[in-house]
Parts: sequence; C-alpha cells; structure tokens
Amino acid sequence: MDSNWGYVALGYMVTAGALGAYCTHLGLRLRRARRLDAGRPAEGSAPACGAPE
Amino acid sequence: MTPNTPTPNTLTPNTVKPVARLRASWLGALTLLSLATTALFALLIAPADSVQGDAARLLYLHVPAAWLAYLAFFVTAVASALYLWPRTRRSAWDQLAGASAEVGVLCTGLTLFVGSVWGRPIWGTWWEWEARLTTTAILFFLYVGYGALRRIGGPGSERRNAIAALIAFVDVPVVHFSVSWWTTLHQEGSVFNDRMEVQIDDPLMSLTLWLAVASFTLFYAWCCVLRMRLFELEAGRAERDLANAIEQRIASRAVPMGTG
Repeated sequence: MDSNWGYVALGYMVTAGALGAYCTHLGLRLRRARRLDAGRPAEGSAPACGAPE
Repeated sequence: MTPNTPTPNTLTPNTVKPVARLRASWLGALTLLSLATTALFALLIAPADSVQGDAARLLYLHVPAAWLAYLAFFVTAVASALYLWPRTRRSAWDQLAGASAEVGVLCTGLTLFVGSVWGRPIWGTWWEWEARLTTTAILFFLYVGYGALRRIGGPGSERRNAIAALIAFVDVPVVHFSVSWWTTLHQEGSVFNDRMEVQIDDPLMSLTLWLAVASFTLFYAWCCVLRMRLFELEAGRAERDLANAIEQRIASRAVPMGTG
C-alpha cells in the first residue's frame, strides 16, 4: 500500500471536518435566529432578569 | 402611542418563505450527494497518479478549494462594488459580500492546509516561503481581517467593508500570477495551460477533478444562501430591537407627562 495514504486521509478528514463544522455552525445559528425571529427564546438561553417568564 | 398599541415584538416576523426554505434544502441535499460522490471517485475510482502515486488524490481537494476561494473573493469584490455604486446600493450586496468572503476564507484555509499536506510527501516540506504559498497566506489573513472589520459594525460600516473588500481583492491576481512572475516551488497551472509538462491525461482523473469543482461550487452556493438568510434574520431582529427600544423610550417619557 502506498505510504502516502496517511497524508491523503489527513487531508480528506480535515476537509470533511471543516466543511461539516462550518455547515453545522451555520445551521445552528440559523435555527437560533429563526426561533428568536418567531418570538421564542433561543434554546439554552435564560430569560432576561425581570422578564415575565 | 397608546398603551394598547402592539409592542414591536408583535411586528410581522422576518420569516423566510417556505418555498425558499425548501429550495435551500434541495440545494443542501444535492451538495451533500455530490460531495459524497466526489469522495467516492477521488478515493476509490480514480486511478493513482503514475508519478505521485496516491498523494495526487489531494488534487481533488486542493484545486477545487483554490478555485472556490478565487470565485468567492471575486463575488465579494463585485458585490462590494455594486454596493458602492450609488444606483445599485442595497444592503443585500453587502450581505452577499460578507457571506461569500466567509466561505472564501474557509476555502483559502483548506487550500493552504491541503497544499501543505500534499507538499510534505512530494516536495519534502510542509511549508516554503515562496511566492505562491506566501501570497496565499497573505490572502487568507487579508480576508480574516475583512471578517473582523465586518464584526465592528456601526454607522457607515457597509461602505467601509466594501472598500476593504476591494482593497483585499488586489491580492487575488497576485496569487494567481505569482507562479508566472516569480520562480516558485509551486508548479504552474495545469488545467488550462497547454505549455505545461504536467498534464492530467487520464479521463477518469479529469472527470473526478471537474466533479470536485462542481461539488465545491454547489457547497459555496448553499453556504451563501444559508449565510445570507442568517444576515437577513439578524438584520430584521436588530431593526425590531431598535424599534422596540425607541417605543419604550417614548412610552417612558409619555407616562410622567400624562400623570404629572
């Protein structure tokens, strides 16, 4: 087996990771923005101090 | 404003049309499918190079990432110019410029990384301070700076961003022609260059390369659509927050006047 497969694997894994991480990042931000846009609090966010809910 | 007036929180939400969302979903599905097909061709179906062996499979990442970086920064520059031009000035151009530059930075980073990983077995070094690599690294940091500048915001920020994007774009032709202008370790372009000794003769390798370019371009389009939608939602939210704050301020002034 070609000894360069290690470099190939490194290149492909990092690229897949970077593209996947960027898409996930965008998707999560978009979901949060949509929730806020619809008037719902973002997941994991505490209500503001003194807020009714 | 009367107390019964709806608060800005009840303003029509800046919701995205379901049809547009569906189109983006289809674009995303097509992108993922084409990227998976590219990986299959690049790693299993395309033959190894007769000179470089399997290391040449990194070509199918390096070239599309570099192409996409050029495309993304070109779109950023055009959108910025359209924003600066008074007749075509719209916030959407600024948003497109920002979205495109973000994907461009990602692709430039990948170009540098994959190039470095490819260079180790072929050149015997991870990095050389030669013209192509150095100008590409400068390009990366120029657009990282552009991204940082966008985050500052404030009055006149869109105009400032557009000027910065046009200045940063000057480095793109420098990167492209660096292999012709200076003696470099990096080879000259081999896709559209008939003079080159290095040619991609195998049709399966050419097919895989073009498939990879198409897949990365789809990825770019999909990310731009998502990023621009995010810009729109954030801008709508900021506008409503501002309107909310103004109305609360007016209401807080109106109450003491009425009671006093």
